[in-house]
Parts: sequence; C-alpha cells; structure tokens
Amino acid sequence: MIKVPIAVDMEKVRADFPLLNREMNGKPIVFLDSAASSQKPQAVIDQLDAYYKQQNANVHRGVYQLSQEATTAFEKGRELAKSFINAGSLKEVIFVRGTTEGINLVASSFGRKFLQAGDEVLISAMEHHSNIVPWQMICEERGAKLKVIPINEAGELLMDEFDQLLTEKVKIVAVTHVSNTLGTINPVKEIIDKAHQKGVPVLIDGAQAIPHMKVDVQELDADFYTFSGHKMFGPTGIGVLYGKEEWLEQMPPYHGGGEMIETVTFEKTTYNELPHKFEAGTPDISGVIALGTAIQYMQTIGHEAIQEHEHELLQYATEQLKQIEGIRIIGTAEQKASVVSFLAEGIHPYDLGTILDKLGIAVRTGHHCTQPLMDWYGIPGTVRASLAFYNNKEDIDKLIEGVKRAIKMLG
Amino acid sequence: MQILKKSVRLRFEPEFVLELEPSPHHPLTTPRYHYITISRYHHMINHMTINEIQDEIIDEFSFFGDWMEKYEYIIDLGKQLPLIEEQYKDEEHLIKGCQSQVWLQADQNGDQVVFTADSDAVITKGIIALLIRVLSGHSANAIADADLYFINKIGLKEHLSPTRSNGLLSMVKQMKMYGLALQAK
Ligand SMILES: Cc1ncc(COP(=O)(O)O)c(C=O)c1O
Repeated sequence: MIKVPIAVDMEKVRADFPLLNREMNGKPIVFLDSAASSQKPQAVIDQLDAYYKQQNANVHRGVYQLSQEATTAFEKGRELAKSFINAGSLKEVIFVRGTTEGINLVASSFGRKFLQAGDEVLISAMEHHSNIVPWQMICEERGAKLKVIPINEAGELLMDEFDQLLTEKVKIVAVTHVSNTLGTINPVKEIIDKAHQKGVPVLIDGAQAIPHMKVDVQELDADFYTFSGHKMFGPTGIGVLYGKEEWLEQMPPYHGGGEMIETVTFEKTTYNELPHKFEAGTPDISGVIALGTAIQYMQTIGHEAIQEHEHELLQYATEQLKQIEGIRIIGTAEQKASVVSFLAEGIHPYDLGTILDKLGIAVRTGHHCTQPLMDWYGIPGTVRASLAFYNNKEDIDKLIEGVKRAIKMLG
Repeated sequence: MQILKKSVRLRFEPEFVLELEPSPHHPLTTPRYHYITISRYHHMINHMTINEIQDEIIDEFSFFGDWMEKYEYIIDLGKQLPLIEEQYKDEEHLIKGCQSQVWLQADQNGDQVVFTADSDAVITKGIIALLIRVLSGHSANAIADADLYFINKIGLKEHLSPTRSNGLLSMVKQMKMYGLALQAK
C-alpha cells in the first residue's frame, strides 16, 4: 500500500491546545488521559466565549432577532453533528448531556416500550458502567435479563459466543465501539449485521471511537449511536444520541417539560416531533454550538491524519513499555485504538500513578468504570495511558522514563 | 498527675515491665519499676498530644529535600510489617476506594482507642502509618475533635481529597466515627 503523505503538521496542531502549556507538580504536563476527557483547542474556547458575549438567548422561543440568531447557531450545531456521523436526517440527531445520558435515554424509553418479562438485553464483558447499569435498571423494572458476550485473554469479543447468545429472546444489543480500558476496536459492523438478521436493534457506545476514527452511522447501519462532546475536543455537558427515526418515533419521551411538547392541557399533552420530543427543557446551547466548532476542527485535521498519527504513537508506546521488565500489557487485541493499559509486576496501579503524577505525567489508574472487566482479569485495576492527536513521541518517552523511575522507587 | 494515677493501674500487668525501653523523656532519677511502668504507659497512650505528634511529623518532613525523598520515606513506611492482623483483612473491616483499598480495625483499651490498618497500595499504607501514629492511643474525645493539619503541612493533602478515592478519607472519617461513638457511650 502506498502511504499518503500527511500534510498536517501535528506539532502545529498541538499548539492549538493552550492547556498543554501548563505545568503539573512543577513539570511540563504530559497529558495521557484523553480517554477520560480530551483537552480543548483554542477555537472551541473562543466559541464559548463569543457565544456568551454576542449570542446568548434562549432558543426556539423568542421572536426577537437575538433569539433567532441563537436558534440558528444552535441548529447549525445539529447539522454539523449530522454530517459528522452521516446521519440520515436532522430528526435523528438528539442532543444529550453525554454518552451516559444517551444510553439511559434508550434503555429507559426503548425498554419501557419493548422489553417484557423474560426478554434479554445483550451487552459485552468490556462495557463501561454506563453501558451496564442503565440496562440493569430497566431489566429489573421489566423483569428482563442481562446477558454478556464474553472475551478472550487479549480482550476481544468471542464472536462464536455472541452467535449463541443472540436468541429470539434478545430485544436489543448494546456494545462499545472501542473499549476505554483495553483499546479494543470491536467488530461492530458484524455485530449489527448479525443482529439485524434476527430483527434485533443495536446500540453502539461510541464514546471512545468518535475522537479517533471516522464513524458513518448509515454505513454501520447502527440503530443507536451515542458519544460525548468532551472526549472529542468539545465542551463538557454535551453529547449526541443518534437514533433511527423508525425507532425514535415508536419510543415514548424520556423527560417531560418545555420544548418537547406540542400542546399541553391538564387532561392530555401531545408531544413535539423529532428530535425535540427527546429534548425537554432549555438545551446546552453554548455546548451545542461549541461542539459544532470541535467537529469542524477535527474535520480540518482530517480523520486520516488523526488515525495515522495515533496509530504510530500507540505502536511506539506499546513497544517501549514491553521492553521494561515486569510490565504486562492488559488488552492485546489485533485491532486497537489509542489506549494502552498496563501493570508493573508487584506494584499497585495507584502507587505507580501517584509517582507519575509527581513527574507531571497524567495517566488514569483504577478500574476505569469497568469493574466487571477487571474482575474477569482478576486485577484491581490498571494504569492507562490514552492518546489524542495532540500527543507526540516525546510524551511517550517521558512516560517510559517515568514508569522506569517509579518501578525503581516502588519495586 | 492524672497520668500517674492511671499508671498505677497498669503497673501490675507483667508484659509491660518486660518489653520496655526506658523513655528519654523521663528523668532517670525516678524509681526503676515506677519509671518503666510510666514509660510503657506513656508509650501506649502516646505521651504526646495529637498536636504534638503532628508537629513532630511536620518537623521530620521538613528535612526532606524534595518530593522523591519524601515519597521514598512514605514507601518505606508502607513496606514495613503489616499493620493489621490478617484476620481483620475481611469484608467487615474493608473500606472500599475506587483506587486502593483500606482495612481498619479499632480496639478499646481503657479510655484509649487503638487503631490498626492496612492497604493494598504501598503509598496509601505509608500514609496510614502516619495517621495511626497520630491518632492511635488517644482518648475518643481527642480523636473525635482532632484537626489533622499535618497532612496539609507535609504536602500530602491530595491523598486525602475525595476525588482521589483511595479509601484514606473514608478511613479518617471512620476513625473519627469510632471516636464519636465511644465518646457518646
Ligand atoms: C466507553 C465509554 N462509554 C461511556 C462513557 C461515559 O461517558 P460520559 O461520562 O461522557 O457520559 C465513557 C467515559 O468514560 C466511556 O469511555
């Protein structure tokens, strides 16, 4: 394959992120926790600032010019999100607080409508708590059962087991696109196709995929796809739930209130049409607008450049870590994105993370909100370094040096 | 004066007399048996107040040149013998943190509360050793009212922040709860 030269200078891109200039514990920060939340480019910060200085007004309700302007800017955010994931229509793009709310919305609303006693919901062993607990809650309420697709030691889904588990009892499948703990990229297209052969809809947790790869919801044929703005260089408090119109139309509203209604009387209320039916109350207006800016920002860099750069870094980090004696990589799937989890023999992740922190290196330690997965591996947690396109080789070198130093102190 | 009175009570327990080293804090002119008894008793109840111990730790830490030395010391403390008996490392004594786990056991000895504790993470354990040095062996009243300013002064405040979720903050709360509960009795 011919390698297309990448025109984007990643060091210039890095300079767009003001936070990366700060220090932590007196050392220049090495930020390797983007999977928890990414940093924001200046353009996004400026957009938030400009909104509150120039455009702030509630949307969808004022006749005056300012409110109209805010509404236009807000709805432009929806258009950007739609084209970003190639949704079929604006009705299918619902703004939520983040992935967690997106999943809760579907679990609650779809569950109340379609789940009966004895039915099953199928998730995987590597799900984030936010793709476990909402399903547990609705299963308990409806008398349905939660089933789990197992994984192998490398952290890959056992697709044979998936085939076995996909019985006629299953009413919905919910799996993550990319594992936040292991970095595994799951074969979501295959999962969706197989489920559809049995008429079962699929929700994809896209929180860890969206910042790193091109997602086309129509090509995937996903029924629901949800992600968080704050992990893709946008503000906190805003996220997107994509849902196929045919499902969203059938599902009851999640929250009641303003915006989501057509007419209200004390006897009966009729609901607004999609997507507003699922957007009760004043939305996160500045968040939506700045999310649009984050999308545009990512598009100017381009998914190809992002993927190539991150892939190289991940490869480098993994190889370097493996050369340190006593390091065990957790999650060694064939297909991986931007996350490397590891343990140092005889050293608790918390201790390692604490020393790295002192060296100015921000990594995440613990169970990463995937406790069942940690239990499966029989470990208390991992140390996780997660990358974004603003990271560079120097960051990895500092990590490696830091890990070596920490092992020396703790070992 | 009060201490002397109490020491009489303990004097007759033989292991106290046998185990002990003379305490430098007491004049050698004191009759020997009396002296040993007092020093053991002092050791047991902490002859210093909670704040005196805190100040002592702050003083010790002031000699460390940088964070590395400080953490090496804490790691050393953490690596020393288990601070709790194995039998107490069970669900009942477990304080779950997201990051590390802590086990805490409290015993009552007269009107003093004696703590032992442990953790699966060595830095957490090292800090536990300091907390126990400060709080263990004091009266329930003193523990319940203690203001643990030394943590801040020696630059380990971050380890007791709620976001850290390493079990330490819950452990301190639990220690004070024991204090409060016993105080109420
Ligand atoms: C795979 C995955 N799903 C869901 C979430 C939850 O995202 P949020 O907290 O933004 O709702 C996360 C965030 O850590 C995640 O990594």
